Amino acid sequence: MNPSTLRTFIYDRLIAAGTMPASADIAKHFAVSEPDALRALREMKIGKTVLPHPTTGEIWMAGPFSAAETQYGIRAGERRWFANCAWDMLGVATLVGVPVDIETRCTDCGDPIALRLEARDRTVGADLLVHFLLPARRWYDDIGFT
Amino acid sequence: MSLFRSEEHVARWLRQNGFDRGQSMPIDSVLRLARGWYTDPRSETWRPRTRDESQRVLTDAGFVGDFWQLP
Repeated sequence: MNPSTLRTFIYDRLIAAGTMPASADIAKHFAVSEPDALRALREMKIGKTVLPHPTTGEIWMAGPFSAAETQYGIRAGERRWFANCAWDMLGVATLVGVPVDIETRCTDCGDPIALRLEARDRTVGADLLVHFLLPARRWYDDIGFT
Repeated sequence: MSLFRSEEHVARWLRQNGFDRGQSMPIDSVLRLARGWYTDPRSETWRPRTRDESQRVLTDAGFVGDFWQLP
């Protein structure tokens, strides 16, 4: 296992199965111990792409996918993913490369918003806005808040 | 980066939560950004972008100006 094969495994599992791999899955796949799998996650050192949870060490986010359920859901058949924000939601739709149904809501009023996006669509077909609270120079100060 | 139905909804949410206004972009612009930003991490040639490469992706998607300058 090296950072490249680990990254490929994480995203293969995410995209093909729709589930975020746990350290136990990583350990089993690479025939290593779970502490070694957790250490490998900590040491991936590939920028902000895969972030381990600060307390559990399990994958917290593998950009643009979120390990936790959020208000930004993306579905393709039986596979379902979550994203941390509206931008990442469209990033998931981009990476999975198949038609997706997006299930989200307005952050203000909570009204459900359903979108259908084909793999090569260049427009969403809805008059919606994404608000960026922080300027780009501060995006990585606190990635959880961003 | 939160999704809203309109500027009216953005303004109300900012007011109710005590946040300063950032910048709103049409969702189609953000789709254009996402299409350029997210490349397949399973590719053998994948690597993290440099700061300048990321800035170029922002610019190409129409995110231009001081607000969109990466550190």
